[in-house]
Amino acid sequence: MHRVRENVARGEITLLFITMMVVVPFALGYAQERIVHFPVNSAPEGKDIRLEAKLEGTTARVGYMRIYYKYPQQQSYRYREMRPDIERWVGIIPRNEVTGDRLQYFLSAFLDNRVILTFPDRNPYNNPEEIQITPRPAVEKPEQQKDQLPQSEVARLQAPEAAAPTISEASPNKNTPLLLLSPEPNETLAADEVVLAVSLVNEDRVADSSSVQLFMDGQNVTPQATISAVLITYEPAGLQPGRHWFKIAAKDLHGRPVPAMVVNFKVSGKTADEETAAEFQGHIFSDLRQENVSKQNESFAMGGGDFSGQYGALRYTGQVFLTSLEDKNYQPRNRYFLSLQTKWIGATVGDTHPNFNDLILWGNRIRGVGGYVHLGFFNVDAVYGETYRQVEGLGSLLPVLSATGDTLQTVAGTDSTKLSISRYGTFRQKILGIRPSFGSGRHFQLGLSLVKVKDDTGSIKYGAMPKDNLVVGPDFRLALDRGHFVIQAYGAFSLLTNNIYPGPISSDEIKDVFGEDVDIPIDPADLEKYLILNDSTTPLDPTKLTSLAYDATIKLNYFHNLLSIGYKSIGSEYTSLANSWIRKDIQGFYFSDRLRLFNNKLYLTFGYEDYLDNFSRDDSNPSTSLKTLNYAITVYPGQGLPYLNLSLRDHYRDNGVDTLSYMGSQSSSIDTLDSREKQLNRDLAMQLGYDLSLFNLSHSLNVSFMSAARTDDFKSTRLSGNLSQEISTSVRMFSLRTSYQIPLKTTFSYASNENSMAGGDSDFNYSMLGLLAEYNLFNGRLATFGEVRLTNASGQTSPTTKIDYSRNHYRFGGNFQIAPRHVISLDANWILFNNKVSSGSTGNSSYTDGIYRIRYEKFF
Amino acid sequence: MKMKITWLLAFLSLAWLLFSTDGSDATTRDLALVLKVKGDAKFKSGYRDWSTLARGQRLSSGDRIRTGDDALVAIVFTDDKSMLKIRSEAEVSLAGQRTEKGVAKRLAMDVGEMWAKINPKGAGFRMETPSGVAAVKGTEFYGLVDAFGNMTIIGIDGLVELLNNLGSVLVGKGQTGQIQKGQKPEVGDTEQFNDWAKLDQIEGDIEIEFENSEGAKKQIEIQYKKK
Repeated sequence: MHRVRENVARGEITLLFITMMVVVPFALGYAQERIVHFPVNSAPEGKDIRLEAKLEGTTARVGYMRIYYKYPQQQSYRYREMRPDIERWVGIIPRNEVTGDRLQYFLSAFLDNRVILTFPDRNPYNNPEEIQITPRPAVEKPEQQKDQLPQSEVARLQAPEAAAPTISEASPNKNTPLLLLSPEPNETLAADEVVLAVSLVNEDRVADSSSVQLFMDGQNVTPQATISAVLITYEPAGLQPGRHWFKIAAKDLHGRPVPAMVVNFKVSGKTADEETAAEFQGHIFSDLRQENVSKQNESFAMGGGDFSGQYGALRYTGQVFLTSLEDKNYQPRNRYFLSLQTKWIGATVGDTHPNFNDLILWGNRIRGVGGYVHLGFFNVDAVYGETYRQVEGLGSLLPVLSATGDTLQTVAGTDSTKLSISRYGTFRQKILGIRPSFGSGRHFQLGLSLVKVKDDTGSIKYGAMPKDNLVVGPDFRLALDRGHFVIQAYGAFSLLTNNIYPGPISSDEIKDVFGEDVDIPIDPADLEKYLILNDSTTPLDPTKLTSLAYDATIKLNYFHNLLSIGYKSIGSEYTSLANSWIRKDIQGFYFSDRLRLFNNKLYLTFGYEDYLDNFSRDDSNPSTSLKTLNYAITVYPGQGLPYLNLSLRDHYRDNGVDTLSYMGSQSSSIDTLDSREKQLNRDLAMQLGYDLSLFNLSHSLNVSFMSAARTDDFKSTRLSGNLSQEISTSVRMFSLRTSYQIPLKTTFSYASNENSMAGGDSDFNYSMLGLLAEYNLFNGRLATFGEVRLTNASGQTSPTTKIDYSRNHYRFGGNFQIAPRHVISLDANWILFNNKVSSGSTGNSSYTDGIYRIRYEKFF
Repeated sequence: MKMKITWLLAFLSLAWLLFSTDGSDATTRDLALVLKVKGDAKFKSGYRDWSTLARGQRLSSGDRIRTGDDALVAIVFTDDKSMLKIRSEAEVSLAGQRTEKGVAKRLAMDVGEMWAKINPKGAGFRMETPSGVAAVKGTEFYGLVDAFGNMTIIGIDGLVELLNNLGSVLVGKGQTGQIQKGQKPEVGDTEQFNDWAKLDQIEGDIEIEFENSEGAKKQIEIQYKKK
């Protein structure tokens, strides 16, 4: 029996393993609620990155859970929604975005108790997790097979004239002047693609063109053929789908018959356009879950589908995702869109993620309509919709109190009552974006983006600080030498009004503030429909350029180097509500190079960043120097040998403050302020992967080690009572996946994580042992699995808070192909949680959970 | 006076004879045949105007082809079944000279992308571009000429000689050769490339005949489809 080794990408196994894991980060003094996630440190280029996370220490429902990600040189984070799975949330960074040498990401969860959790939990935006992208190994191309022309059958029907020796042969090496050009023997063609063509000259042999006879399915079609001295062609019309044949008989220049040629071919039922058009593809699913988590029933249902296809030049895609968790008190969880596109014009209705300008609008979800006209020399992209839907707050009308010291917020009200808001709602936020551009973008493009975002003040009753935002900026791209030399630049200027409730400021009000001598060229009230201007508008003085942002990058791909150099500056007051995750008040340059050696078997990566955070010093705080050095080496020796990835990152933070500050004596609690910051963060990651054969079995082995440590230069002189800034963490992972000679696969995995914070005052350790077995039955129609995962955690996050628990997770289920392209999946889980700490503990008391799921899918 | 008129008539007749032909003689007509056309493609033969290129069109020496966006033209040479595919936004002209071994083929490309699989037993194939010449010794390669006239050759099989007045290099399998205008040719390893010519194949089937020990024959048909 011929055994086929499973072709499992090393990176996928590693990801599958490490995303089965959970890790608890540094939660000293924070709420018990936390995101538990095992960071991904490397991923193969061009493959989906699957991230998993779970929530601990909370029974609140999850409003949303997202992955925010970007390339290091980008300013803005994109996000992807994570979907609930068995006791975890799962999200994917799509393969087409897994490029370059690194990706940065963090996770964010919004709970219905209005708590936002992130991973990393501290400053995730500025200190995200980093994934090293390992390049695809050079694939050795198989030897090109020489043309091997098959021997066809002898003619099915005898020719009407005296039979000449017949062969079915298309090789030019035979003793015939006939050389078959089209179609190839047994080729399948669309009906309108069939052209019978035979050359009458083959090397030094020549057929007499006047003697040529052509038969198509037994019919003599010679009069309809086009015959010249060297070539005979015939285009049959109205060929039915199915098998056909043709025969050519001829004589050489001496009148001797030459071996006739008979060729069989097949006509498909489609035209050439239908053949090349993308087939319709679709997929629908429904998913029911019964969850009993911590004695709470959390059942929900999901369903949806997606489809894509092409009709002529029109491509269409669509998607619908519906969930019973949809709630008007949260942002939408349902998703839907329909997109119709041609090369020149297109439109999308529903949830769209436009990309205009990296600084202004880059991948945020907008529910509305979008479209484009792409003529090449001139293009227009536009989008209109909402970025947030209204979510009403909680409040009431209260009588006005005569006493002082009332701390309730007042928004509006009558003379005798005022609004009391206990929870602020979310305004409906509308967006209009347009981007005209010149150039197709393949070699050159110059664009200008204009985006306006405004809160709808009438959408909710209990809200505050509705905003109005206008951003404009150019973008430029030049790509030469087939993309080996690329220049890319973005610019943007913003105006933001933080509270539009008062409306625009009038000229009279300006003069009241600044005096009668002030000469205002325009009345802000006249600009209300473009932007509401008042005293909450930033910047107040646009000429200082505090809301200017720009970024330029040069990329070079020559001599096995992939070089990237850039500079960016984001003003302290720059704001784009359509891109709210952009980091502000930072400027500096970055550089990275990836060198390919030895036929792409060895990759060396080096990167350097030098930024100044808070460079404007608007808040009088010192600027902080951020320097980062990255080094990585990846070795792909070739198939059958292990591959290795090593990376090291040193990140320095230095705010230039090396002395303590003393506050005035009126302060009764603290008279000394320690704002010194001089740290080195060192991250080390190593990954080894090896596909091997041992004991007649196929194995895929992965070993990973990661460590992160922060050292504080001022550790020895920190004031007593101040928490140490030093942290350390180390992660070890091991997995072995084995394929047996029976349809059985097993995966054994082990992982451990040790964390220390505050210089050792807080620690948390975690370990997991897992075994997964997969067995196929009925020729693979039924795929069953069973899994055991044993985890233990211990530590002390504060002098009074100890952690010591175990969680044993038992799972079994299977996928059954009930019919071709119909799959039904069943999944059952039992989780036994045992909290061993009786007092001063974190988390819940001991419990048993059951989670059951059934899912149906059909593929078209 | 009569003499002058006679000479003038003779001259005009000769000119008419010359200009009334398509510029190719019988031996270089039907140099190639168009097997497939996708998208917008035009051709120009001799002094005629540009016209739509269609499947089954015969091409002669001197004919020019121009492809538009999203176009693909597949051509077979009639002397040795060498194959040529021309991609979108390209402009080429074909030329050929019949010899004892077949037709010595030349492809002049000002801009665009092409793929060729040349029969090594034929009379040879040259690709001429603004920056240099690729002389194909067989068998398969990709050629690209950018808007600046710079040429790139990706060797798939066999050897291609890249040359200009500053030097020459051989491009083999798994190698990429480049000629920048005004510079000598260079060659290096191929890193990544779009193997677009292979994606053009549609489904087909193969018949295999088996014969058991008793002489009974059985046929198996294997159908395959492009991914």
